[in-house]
Amino acid sequence: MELIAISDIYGDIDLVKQLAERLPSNVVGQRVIVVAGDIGVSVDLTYSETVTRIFQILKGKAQHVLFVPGETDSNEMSIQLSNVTNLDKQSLVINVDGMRLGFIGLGGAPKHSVREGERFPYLWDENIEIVRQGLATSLKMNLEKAMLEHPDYLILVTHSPPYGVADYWTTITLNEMAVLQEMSEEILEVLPPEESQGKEQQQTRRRGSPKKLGSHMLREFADYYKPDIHIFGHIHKQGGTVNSRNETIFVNVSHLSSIPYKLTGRKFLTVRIGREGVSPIFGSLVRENLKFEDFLETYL
Amino acid sequence: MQRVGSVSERVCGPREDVTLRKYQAEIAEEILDKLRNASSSNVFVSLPQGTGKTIIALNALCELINGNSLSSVLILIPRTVLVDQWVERSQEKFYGIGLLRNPTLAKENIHKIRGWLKHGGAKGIAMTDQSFKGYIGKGLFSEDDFDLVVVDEAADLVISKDFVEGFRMSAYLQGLEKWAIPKIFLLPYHVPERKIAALMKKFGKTSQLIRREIEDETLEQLQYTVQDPIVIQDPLVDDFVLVLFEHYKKIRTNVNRILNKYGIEGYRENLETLLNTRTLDRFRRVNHLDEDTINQIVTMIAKYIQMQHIMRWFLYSNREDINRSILSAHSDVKKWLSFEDKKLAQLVDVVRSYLDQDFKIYIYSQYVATAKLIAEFLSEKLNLKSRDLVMVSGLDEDQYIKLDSFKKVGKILVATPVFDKGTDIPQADTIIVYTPPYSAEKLFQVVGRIRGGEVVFLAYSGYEHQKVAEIVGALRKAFQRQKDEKFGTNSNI
Repeated sequence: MELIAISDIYGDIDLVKQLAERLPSNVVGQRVIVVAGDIGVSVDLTYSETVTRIFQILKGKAQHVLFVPGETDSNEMSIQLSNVTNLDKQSLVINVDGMRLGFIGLGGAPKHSVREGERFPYLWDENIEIVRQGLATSLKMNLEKAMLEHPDYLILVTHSPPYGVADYWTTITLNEMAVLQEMSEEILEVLPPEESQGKEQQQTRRRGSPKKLGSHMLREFADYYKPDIHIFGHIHKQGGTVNSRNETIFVNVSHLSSIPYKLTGRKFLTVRIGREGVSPIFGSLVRENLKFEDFLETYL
Repeated sequence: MQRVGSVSERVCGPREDVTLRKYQAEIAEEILDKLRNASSSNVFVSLPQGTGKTIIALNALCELINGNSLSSVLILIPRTVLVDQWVERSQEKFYGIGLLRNPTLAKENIHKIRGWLKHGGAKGIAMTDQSFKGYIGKGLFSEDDFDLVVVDEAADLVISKDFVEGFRMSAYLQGLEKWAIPKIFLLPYHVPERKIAALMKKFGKTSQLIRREIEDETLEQLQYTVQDPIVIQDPLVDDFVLVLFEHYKKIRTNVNRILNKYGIEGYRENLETLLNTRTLDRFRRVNHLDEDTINQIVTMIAKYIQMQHIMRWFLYSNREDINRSILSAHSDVKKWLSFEDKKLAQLVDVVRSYLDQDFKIYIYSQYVATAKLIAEFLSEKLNLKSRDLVMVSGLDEDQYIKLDSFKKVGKILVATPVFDKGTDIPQADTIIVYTPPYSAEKLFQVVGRIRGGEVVFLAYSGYEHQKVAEIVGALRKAFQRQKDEKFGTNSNI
């Protein structure tokens, strides 16, 4: 069977359509699509219309569409479409192409993973013990429920990465927005004169030492309960990372949208799952055979 | 050779087994003269690499301590590893001048730090420029807490911006120019005169300069051999890089066209500065650029930086980032990624040949990602023991210990710019510059760490070879000039 995973769509319906066009129609019955959060925004359509449109497109290409909301989504997302399931704090076991797959999910993101003062609809503070315990208990209960049906594979879907796995974040400055990756110190010397930037940027920089933004609670859960695959998004710069450890394959699938980083956007993951094992491979929604100069012109 | 004072008469001085060179004692005395002659004086000391600027400064500090003119000194240094080097040198070579090592506000209470300084026998604090900003910014220390400041590697105190705005103070040490207490600034001889002049100007009329070449028969003349670049054939890389370079040039032309149209001078040297919000505000106010044009500039510069960045990914083996980017979906890039990296493969051969000669090797990379890749690749291909290869980047807290481990037991040191200023790595016999720094001044600093030996560059044939050949030529000329002038060079390479 085939599992397609995407995240951080930010309402880009065009790219969702492009993805749907890429997916062959003859294997719809053997395909599951997973969306790991940050699905909609309201621009031309309302938030709810955008999200519904996205799931309508995706559902035509898979037997099941499963999702968790991200921190920019509503924490009470309800999609009234058949075979589209919100996995947030839920579990689901489905049979696809002769395989039994168990899914458990958690939406939203830890409060420490976004900039101080930024308001998003779905954040949780895992530094508050009762919150942390509540989330961990929910995951454990759902895991137990899923395991009762003896799935061949157990798949954890969250928006946030676990702490220390594809969750590394470096400061966002004006220049970094442009270049995506760590810059050499020489360039930073000419670029950032903090004293000459606005107060807001100064504050961002001060908080901006490189750090890991994943969830400790998710890390503990993954370490102890060892799902076969953990799919997440949220930390855009680490999108495209596949990391195998402790019998779990961790994949950061961000981001499908071409924002915030053109260089790392347009991404989707295909996982072939069979009795013999699991093989993840990333794809990009680009025209591969363009001349290199035209490719740069078109996508950057 | 001359000893300064005897141990029994003084509370501070060089340890018994330390003998100062004649010129070191003389320059220390000259610093003291200048400090004594003016109540509030700033003394700039510019000497060739390897002449012992730290020892000279420590000796001058000791004399002040002996004369009861100094009870607390603040030593400012740009790199963490140099803080350790300063503290260790002060302990190893001198008695009576204990220094506190870069206390971290997150770990230590300010009252404790003050207590150690006042009652713990410490004669001062050595801290990074960044820590200075933290302490002073929070108002935890002021000039009242110290009698004197020493700024090591002071050339970076001012950063060249553009010819309109000239040199500006480093963000980290801003405010230091207003301190009235005496200051000693140490900087290498190769720093251009115009930069030293700009630096002295920032610190007012009481600034005085000691700048000289040193002729001392006991000083070892450093011999550098800059090898011809090792050329790697990979036409695909050259194709990618040329396309990126053409884009980059096109953007430059377009930005220049806008600047010319609005009669804006400057900025051409460092187009990146156009992303500075204050610069853009000035364009709006003074040059009357509309919002569309401003946005156009910002978009172009963003793309310009991106092009440079991607070029470096290809040239410096950053396959991990290419793999995670949309570039990896392009058919030619995909093909290239399916081959083993030819530059890394060549590096393995070069390193192996030096190891066969029992050389210790320092590999310099401007980027952390490349340094990691090099370390992993070499460890695997050369089947190294973990102590054989030491990798150090700015992310490591134990940089000094790691460096020491390379000096004592390691064979290969892979490092990012953490050691580019003032850190001695004389144990290394050769330096391989895998990713060159951008300015000639920085390159000279980086190479100067190994105190003589072979300098090696790797380059893909075509565009990169041409650029690296220019660097090699400039470096050879600089070393030749340095040789002609005994030590140090009078101009920027």
